[in-house]
Amino acid sequence: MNANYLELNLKRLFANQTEVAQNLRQAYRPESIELRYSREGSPVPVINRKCLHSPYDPQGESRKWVASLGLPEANHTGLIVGGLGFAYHLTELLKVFPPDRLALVEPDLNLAAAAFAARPPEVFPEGLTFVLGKPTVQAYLTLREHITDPAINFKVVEHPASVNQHPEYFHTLAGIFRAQEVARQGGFKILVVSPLYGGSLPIATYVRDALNALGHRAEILENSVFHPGMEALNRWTSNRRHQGQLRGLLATLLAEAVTARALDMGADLVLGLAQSPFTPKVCGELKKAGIRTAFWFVEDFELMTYWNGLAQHFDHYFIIQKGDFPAQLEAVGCSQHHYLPVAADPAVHTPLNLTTAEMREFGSDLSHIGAGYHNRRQTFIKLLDYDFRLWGNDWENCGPLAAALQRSGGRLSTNDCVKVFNASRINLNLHSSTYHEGINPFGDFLNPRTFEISACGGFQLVDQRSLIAESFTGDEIAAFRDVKELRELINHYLAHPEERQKIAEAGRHRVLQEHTYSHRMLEMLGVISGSDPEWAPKSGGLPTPEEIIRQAGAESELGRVMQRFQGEGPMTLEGLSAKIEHSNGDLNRTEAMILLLNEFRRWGLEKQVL
Amino acid sequence: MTTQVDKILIINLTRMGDILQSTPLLKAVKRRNPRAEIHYMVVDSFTEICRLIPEIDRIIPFEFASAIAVSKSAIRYLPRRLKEVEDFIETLRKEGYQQVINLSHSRISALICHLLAVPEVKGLTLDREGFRQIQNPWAQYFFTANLNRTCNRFNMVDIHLGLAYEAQDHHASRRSVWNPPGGNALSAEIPPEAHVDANYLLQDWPGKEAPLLVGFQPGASLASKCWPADSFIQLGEKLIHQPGAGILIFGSHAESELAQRIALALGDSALNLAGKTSLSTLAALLNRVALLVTNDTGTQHLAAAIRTPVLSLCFGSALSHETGPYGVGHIVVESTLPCFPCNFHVECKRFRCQEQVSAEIVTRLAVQMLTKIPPDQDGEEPLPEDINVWKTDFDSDGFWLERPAVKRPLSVEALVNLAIRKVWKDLLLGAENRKSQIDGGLSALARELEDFLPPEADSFGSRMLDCLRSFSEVEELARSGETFSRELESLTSMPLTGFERIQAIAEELARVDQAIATIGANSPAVNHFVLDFTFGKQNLESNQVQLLARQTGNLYNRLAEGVSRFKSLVQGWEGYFNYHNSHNLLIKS
Repeated sequence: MNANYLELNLKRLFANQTEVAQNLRQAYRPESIELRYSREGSPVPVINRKCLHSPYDPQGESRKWVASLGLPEANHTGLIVGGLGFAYHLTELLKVFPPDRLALVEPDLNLAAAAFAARPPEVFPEGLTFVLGKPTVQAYLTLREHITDPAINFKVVEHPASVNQHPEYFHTLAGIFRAQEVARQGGFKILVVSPLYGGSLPIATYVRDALNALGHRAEILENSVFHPGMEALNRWTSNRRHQGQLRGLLATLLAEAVTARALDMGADLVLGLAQSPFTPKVCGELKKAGIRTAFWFVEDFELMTYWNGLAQHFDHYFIIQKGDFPAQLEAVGCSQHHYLPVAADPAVHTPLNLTTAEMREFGSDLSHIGAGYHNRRQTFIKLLDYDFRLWGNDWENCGPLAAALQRSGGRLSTNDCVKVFNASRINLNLHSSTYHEGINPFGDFLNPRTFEISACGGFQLVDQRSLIAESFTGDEIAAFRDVKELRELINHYLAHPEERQKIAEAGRHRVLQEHTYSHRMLEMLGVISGSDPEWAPKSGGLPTPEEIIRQAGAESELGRVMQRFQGEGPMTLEGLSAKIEHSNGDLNRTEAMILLLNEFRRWGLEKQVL
Repeated sequence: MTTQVDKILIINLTRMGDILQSTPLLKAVKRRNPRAEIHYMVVDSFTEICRLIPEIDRIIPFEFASAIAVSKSAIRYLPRRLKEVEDFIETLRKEGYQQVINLSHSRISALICHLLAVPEVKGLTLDREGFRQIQNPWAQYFFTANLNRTCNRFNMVDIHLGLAYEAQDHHASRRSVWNPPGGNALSAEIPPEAHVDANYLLQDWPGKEAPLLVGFQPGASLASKCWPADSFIQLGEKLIHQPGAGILIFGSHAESELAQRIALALGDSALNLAGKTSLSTLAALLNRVALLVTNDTGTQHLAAAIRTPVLSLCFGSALSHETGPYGVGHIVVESTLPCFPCNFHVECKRFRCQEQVSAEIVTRLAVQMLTKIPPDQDGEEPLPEDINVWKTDFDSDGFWLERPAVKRPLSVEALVNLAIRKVWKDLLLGAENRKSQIDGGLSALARELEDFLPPEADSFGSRMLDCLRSFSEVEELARSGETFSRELESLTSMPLTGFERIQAIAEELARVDQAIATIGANSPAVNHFVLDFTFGKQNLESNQVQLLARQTGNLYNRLAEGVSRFKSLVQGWEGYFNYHNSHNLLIKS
């Protein structure tokens, strides 16, 4: 048996990357990794019956692999290496690159721990960056934190045997890097298609804002403007069948409008959200125009069944459920489905300093925001002995619950929701069901409110969902399984404000670290770009003033013009012209020529040749 | 005398008709600068027409497709794309033009003028800071006329001619520009080979020997300008019954289907030539027809240029006072509908102005032109009142003018517009002695007024009074603006004094300008002076407050002078027409 180097290696790692070292120690399960030994006695891990290095000559194999990469000089280059294996390839890479130019990513923490146990300390010299056992978005963000020198151009290389173990992981990670490189150069143009109405409507705004904050150019196709029209159709006939047909025709029209808008704006991606209008024909037209299509189905597939017949027409289908749904999607021919839970927008969902008057208006021991679904009515009737406030609509004929109902069941604005989350001692979050008598024992996904309450620093009691553990630990959120347990928890946490605060703070920290719409959009674009490396913005990347200065030379007249706009991000010709037109002082020759170029562009648009 | 220039660039990025309408200007420029080389910049698709214009020494094609291509993704390759723009400008700059005459009103042409930095620009350019600047009073008038179309009574050709006019040398210049030997006319030279091509096109047509050929131009750049094909067919059916008549139908390739429809309906008596002619062949064929019946098109101006009589049908946004056939004896038909002419920025869906003009009326006018009988002497019923029929002519100053072909009572609009034309002519020509003529009141318009019967409507007097009231209000405001400006000028000549007063004056001037603009917006007649004032203010450019104050004062003075002249000219109208009404109206001066 070979020596175990784990503690020796971890000791050095503790000095620089404490969290990584702790995680490795926790994850280490020596018996779970099968090892083989080469002719020279070098250990090689076997995962899923595949050796991660050559069982005969791991060093020789790694030498050849590194040589085959045709790596550039180390002067201005660093490497992000996908896959740690047992680090034989790392030894070869270290012959070309100094340790501070190498970062290693390995999703399998257990394998990484085994590597640190099996290989001697000289294999892992000081200065290396390890990103181990982190989900793709976290891995990307950690790497970005480490890659701070803008002069160094980091290149991603993938260790093939490791990548084969986790192809989706590495594709997505590479996709995130690619998408964010595009963002740096002006970004993808993304059309976010909103539904006509409903609780998912604000998500379109959060998604748009997150994409723009990442450096892309997203806009919303605001279908809610057609909601009054749809309601009018419902009023014009009481015949349900006719109502349905008319709504269908309206939806078909609005779907066609998606194509028109996407073509007009030159979209690279069209992203539909919950119930936004699409038809198979429209998906086909968008594809034909080279526009990628994605849909984020942020609802319960069993309750809302319109995915059936439509999902397979999108390039990517993002869902908030696991369980049977993926298999059902596969059955209808939709293979590009990906789990992507909802999230919070910290710019909106945030702790507030409320005034006394606001505390009076919005505060209570116990509150709930949401529509009056059947299971909520059944549950909340049992909570009327508390200082309980019920916010939201669709609570008609709710009997004694009317005593708790606020604003006569009027809809709450997002800002007011945030105030309620902040002002309530306990925010009750009971996922809706149209037929359960109380808590749905088979509930799986988390609703947006789960993340939003936490992002506000509010304390919540949420009904137990099978997918909670994917997003929160027990220290970050408190869950109940039935009304009895709910009442116990309410009593307990009302009596222990310090515990509430601790959980709420931990929950907020977790949301900010992992569950914002920015995180989700990074992942979504990573998935899309990862599965489709050729995907590039149609309009090409837009240069920043700094890049134009580099191209033109800082001392050129163009360089000097652009210096005024440094730090303003990617530029369009139109935007640059507007800035020049609004500048004070004399118009120099270069500025006049930029304006002339822009006039040429406008002429082309007017004559419809551009 | 002004100095001679050797090389002049004329920029005209518009269409064929506009290019032909600039030919009198080209000749006037040549007369003033016989040695000068004229370079003419046009969009490359219109270079062919330039080859028929002998005054153009060199055509500079503006390559539209290349310009658009350079702008595509330009931001990503900005240094390279700017180099291409610079090369384009540099090539022009190396020509060493001493003068640019910009006949376009686009920002592209203004930027080119700005970048060329030649000693003199006439027309639209940009000032040092990149703001729009209109150089030359006639160019400034062009913009006024364009924004206030119904009050303008100058043909575009005459406005363009104004760019060759030198105010400081006005006697000689006026004669040279508007009264040259033989008068002004559009011009195009037909190359000899074009006649051969024309013969070739006609050789198989049975009607080729017809002694009375009439040309039809049924297409136009916009559907709103096209008299219906059925109307052309009805016209053609009637005309082919004239002894020896045959019809040639002209048009571009895009109009060939429309032309074919008309030709098929008329049988062997008509020949569809749409899409089959080069511009020089078209000119040769137009030279053979006794009359061209046309919408507002480039073909109309080409016919006028080769002295072929034109019966012009003006619909949609086309307004004959602006762009009617330049020359003597052409006839123009247009609507009297209140919505006519269409605003450039609207798209009409129901062409009522076309419906008003029946094939019967056009036939009658065409026959009169062919037989040279005046419209009101053909023994037929009077022409309907919902259409205007104009006959083109020149006034005693050599300016083109449309006269009513049928005498009708003078309307307020007709009088006001003739008066505006008179005042503007004097202002633009800068003739110091013209005031005396105006002092004689409407007698200065005696010749023009002979074309009308005396006004008859009871509302004439009250409407004239309303109109003059607006003029008086603006005059009063302009005089107070001038007084404030002069005070400002004197205050700013003394350093560090009267800051509060300066601020108060600035506020007063803003109030005066707002009041002037409001009256202008409500009275098109007075707006013809207010717009000029507004453009003048936009043109002001100086870092010296005192100088700016002086120039502003001059602009108020010019406005006051203009409206005052208008009032002097028209306010004796009652006596002039010996017109009295029962309301005993008084006109306040």
